[in-house]
Amino acid sequence: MTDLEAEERRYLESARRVLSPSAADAERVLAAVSRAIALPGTEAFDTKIPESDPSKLLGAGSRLSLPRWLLAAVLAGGFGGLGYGAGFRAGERSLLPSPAAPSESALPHRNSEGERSAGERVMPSAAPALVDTRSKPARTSSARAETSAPIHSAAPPEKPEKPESDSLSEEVRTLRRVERALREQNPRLALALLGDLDRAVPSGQFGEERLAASIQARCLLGYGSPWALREEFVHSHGLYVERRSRVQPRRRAPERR
Amino acid sequence: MSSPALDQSEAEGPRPALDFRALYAEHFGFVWRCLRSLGIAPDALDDATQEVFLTVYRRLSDFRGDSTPRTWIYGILRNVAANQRRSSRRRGDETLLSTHVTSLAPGPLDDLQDRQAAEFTAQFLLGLDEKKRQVFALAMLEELPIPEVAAALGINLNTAYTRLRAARSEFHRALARRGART
Repeated sequence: MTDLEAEERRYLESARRVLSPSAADAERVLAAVSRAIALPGTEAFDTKIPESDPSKLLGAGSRLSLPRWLLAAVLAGGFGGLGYGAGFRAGERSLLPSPAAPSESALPHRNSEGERSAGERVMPSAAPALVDTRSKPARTSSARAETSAPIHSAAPPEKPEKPESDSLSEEVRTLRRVERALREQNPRLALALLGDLDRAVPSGQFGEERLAASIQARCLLGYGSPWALREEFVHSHGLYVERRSRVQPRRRAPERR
Repeated sequence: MSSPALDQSEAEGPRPALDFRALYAEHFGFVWRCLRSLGIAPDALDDATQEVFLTVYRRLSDFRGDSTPRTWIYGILRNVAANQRRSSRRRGDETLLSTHVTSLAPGPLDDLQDRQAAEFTAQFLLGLDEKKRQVFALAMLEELPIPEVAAALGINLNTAYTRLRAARSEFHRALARRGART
């Protein structure tokens, strides 16, 4: 064996070692595969939305038809824009010095670590970014308690929680995967990942993001009307409810045709 | 590794000719490494591996035994890797393999050497053209016999030898250049 061949052998052995998965990787992927295999087509995730005509829902293994997908995307984009605009206007009004403007105490309470400067504007978003945790405003304990409830009913409440840093990183990691799945038009995988996340980290920091992603996925799958899903998101979150109620009175979703 | 859902689903569905769990245990490392050497970014590896094994599970009954299970799985993972690369290219977030290597070496010096060698190999693989890269990864990294490599890639045996020879000589040249620099 020449020197070069010996060198080649050494390099390849190192590469093999470094590129190999760990036992934890094998276990994690097996668990995900096993859950995906056992994932029922529609039953697990449509319990919270109004009953719609089952004949209109897509079958478990079928692909989305284009018109339905387009409709969902257009409506989701439209509602996202509306929600953003409403939140933005509410934020602007709250900063106006007029007597009619709500006082500071009416704004969502902030804890000490999340204190913002007086002129800083809260930029709401109807579909918050799933990956950027650095610019995330700190939440109140009450808001956290509201959003920390598991989204899906399957989450076992008695499961011992992981240390916060572990669970936070796991949550962020899974939400990245969820976001990627949604981008790649794979809502079933997104829902499966969210279900896993609810079981692994039932009381996470990103409850709103989870719900938003879950609604986006259900919208893509055609479970329920986009209006109802949008209302579900807007009405179920303290931060958004408060802002929205300051901007406009509650109104009912239009009747579905 | 316990996975009750898999047990349940296996118990309920028709039992395939191949045992999924055994396939998984035997080929997980192979799938993982091949996906990496085919340019899948580390943060997409979980998804890609999961997709490969889901496809394997769904198609277990289609496996006729014309090839080895490893060859058959490689065919699946090659398609998954191609799809993933296409979509990550569309998004513009293709990640270099070399920037994310991690090492299991026992000490810091071994660790450093491992990392350097792995990064070098990964860079080399990324620089190779697709056809040679596949042959090189299977024959040299996975140490598959050349007839199996040829079967997995659906190419002629002589073509496989030719591509391997070309890829190896490129690797040797790259090693020599590296040795001259250091």
